[in-house]
Amino acid sequence: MKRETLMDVEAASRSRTRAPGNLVGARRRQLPTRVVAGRLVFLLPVTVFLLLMFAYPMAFNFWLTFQSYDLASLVTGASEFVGLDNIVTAINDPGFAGAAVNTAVFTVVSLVVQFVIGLGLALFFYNRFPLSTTIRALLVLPWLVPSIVATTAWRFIFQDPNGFLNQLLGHFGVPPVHWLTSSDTALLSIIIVNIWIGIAFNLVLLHSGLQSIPTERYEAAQIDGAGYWQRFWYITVPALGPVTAVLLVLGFVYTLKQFDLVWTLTQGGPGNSSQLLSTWSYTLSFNNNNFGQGAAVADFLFVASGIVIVFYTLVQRRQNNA
Amino acid sequence: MKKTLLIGATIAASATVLASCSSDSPGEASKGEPLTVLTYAQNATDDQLTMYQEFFDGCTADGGYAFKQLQVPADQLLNKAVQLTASGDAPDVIVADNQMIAGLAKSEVLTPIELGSLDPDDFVQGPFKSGQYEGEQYGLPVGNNGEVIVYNKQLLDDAGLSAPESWADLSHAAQVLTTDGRYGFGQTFAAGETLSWNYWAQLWSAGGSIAELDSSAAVESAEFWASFLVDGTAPQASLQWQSDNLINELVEGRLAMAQVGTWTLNALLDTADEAGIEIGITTQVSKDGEAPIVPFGGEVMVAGVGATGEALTAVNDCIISWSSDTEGLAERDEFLGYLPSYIPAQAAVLESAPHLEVLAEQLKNSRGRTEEVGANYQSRTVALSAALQQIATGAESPEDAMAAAQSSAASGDK
Repeated sequence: MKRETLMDVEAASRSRTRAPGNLVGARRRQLPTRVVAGRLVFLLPVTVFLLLMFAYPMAFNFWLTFQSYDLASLVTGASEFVGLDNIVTAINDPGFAGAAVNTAVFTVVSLVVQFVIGLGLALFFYNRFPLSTTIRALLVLPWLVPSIVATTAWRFIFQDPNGFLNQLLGHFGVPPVHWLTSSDTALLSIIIVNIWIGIAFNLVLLHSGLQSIPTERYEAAQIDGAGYWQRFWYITVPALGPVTAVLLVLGFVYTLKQFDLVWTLTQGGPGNSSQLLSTWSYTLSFNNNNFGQGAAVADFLFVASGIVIVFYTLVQRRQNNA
Repeated sequence: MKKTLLIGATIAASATVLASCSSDSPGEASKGEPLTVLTYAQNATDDQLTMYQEFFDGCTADGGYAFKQLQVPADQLLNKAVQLTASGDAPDVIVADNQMIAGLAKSEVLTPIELGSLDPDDFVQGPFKSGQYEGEQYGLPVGNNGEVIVYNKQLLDDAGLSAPESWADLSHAAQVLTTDGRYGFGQTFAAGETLSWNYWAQLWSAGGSIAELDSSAAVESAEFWASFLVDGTAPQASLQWQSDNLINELVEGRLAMAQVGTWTLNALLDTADEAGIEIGITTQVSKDGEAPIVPFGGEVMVAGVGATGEALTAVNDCIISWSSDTEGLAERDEFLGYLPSYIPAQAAVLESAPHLEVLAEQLKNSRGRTEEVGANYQSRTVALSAALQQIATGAESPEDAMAAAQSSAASGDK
């Protein structure tokens, strides 16, 4: 922010070679009140929208974190300030640590595998071949289907003991796996479904990223004797940098707040083995009616998303300024 | 889809009614604005709405009040009642699951009623008390259901077994009856209310309390209730099953015994009959084989803070007349698949629904789910069902899982 203002000021002083000593005064004269007011009017809708849709819920959630708010409070409106009680209780709850670890595993594994498979498919579809557009469109389907529909289908696929997947594995002599009903595989199962949904998103963005790389670079490299992997590492990967950054940040936020998928498939079970912070927060708030603790858990998700987005913005600004 | 639309339409219609009654001036020919009844939407039939409407239309023949129903999904009723009250549209009558009454009363959504001519001793005591909170009577039970053990008679006879009564009986029978392609015993192990209320009977029979999930009685009974999954005498798939799944497996011959809700008995007996399977029904088991203390299902009709003055009198009359009109009660409860909690009406229902005999027997020794912990019940059921699943899948030892459940549940106590 500060840097931009300085640059603006420099630009302003450069454009007016005979600017008076007082630079701020010069800027003022450039922007009459009417113009400033006009600009503010244009800002108004987005400001109202942001306040109403983002600031208010977030502030309310933050406020809840420090209040003894329960069902009775909804009626009486009365709740007390309880300091850090909700946060401390939420963290000390045996369910929290498990949910935090599950969320970390779920997010990292989903992101990495989605990206690798998405990139592989994007490279595969880079070369046009008969039906390539059709197949690519079909691959995007998981992302377009409403999550509830897709996950319900997966419930049937994973069904214990003779869902589609177990029948398929049975042909290869693999005994039935309790996909959603074993604490060993429930988290793995929801990761698989999340990856399945996320691949499409990665494929689309990476594919369009690949299209934007000038073919001349590849031709030049080929003439210079670069092999496929050399071209991949020295041309494709660096050129995909910005797309990758966007993908990982958006993917991170999407994955972190993933809820309906888990809720439809396992509801966090069996025995909390696939509980994520998002579902845990929901359970605390709406099954236990402990709104304060639910809000405290949600705060952790806010903070995690916030850190990643701030980090991303900083990196992007450095790239833009470079 | 059709159901969703209907419910949506009902809610929309009721919302319009609510909106119009807040703006209309009272003092019309009849008693002005209709009173609101908050009822639950069951996945059964839409006729339920009609049944309740007919009842409310008739219950204050001379009171001159009209009633409008607002129907919400059963599991959201508690929150909805609180929300409506908070926004100034407090319902006048609420028909809520008995385990929600404590929470509703604590949230100051309910108004106490008078029992009038009804004798408390004419009610089954557990359900009667479920209309109370901290010494006040807020309403009376609509009727009850519960869980019973059903079994394939032929299979038990062939193995020389009689209907199980104790933990040892049930475990032994489950072992003997489990063969290749068939499991001995099935129960609902999907997380949630059904899992926990099945367990409470075992907890109570071991002398435990819902207030102390880490007591030795709680650990012991949890270990027992999960043992079927651990030993492989119950299918692991039951971690996602409800009663409907269980009766299917039973009829298909893949299950020898199961604990199911009485609301599925009609369907079970019909389909089993077609499949040529004879079904036996018996009570839930207890540690030593004595009569078990069981929790019960079914709604309580309570007065909401929306009703005051004359309107409260009308609401009170209706709640009383649900039970005092014995013939009507028998008909309505039969329709709902319930056994009346008002004993004078039980005989009529049992005559046409003999499969509820076991439930009637079992209910004599019943205890409300919120008797021990009041409004803190909700967090217990969540923590407990997670712990039972952890024990069943071998993720945690019974001691650790129950200790964690207690600490998790207690952190939500107020």
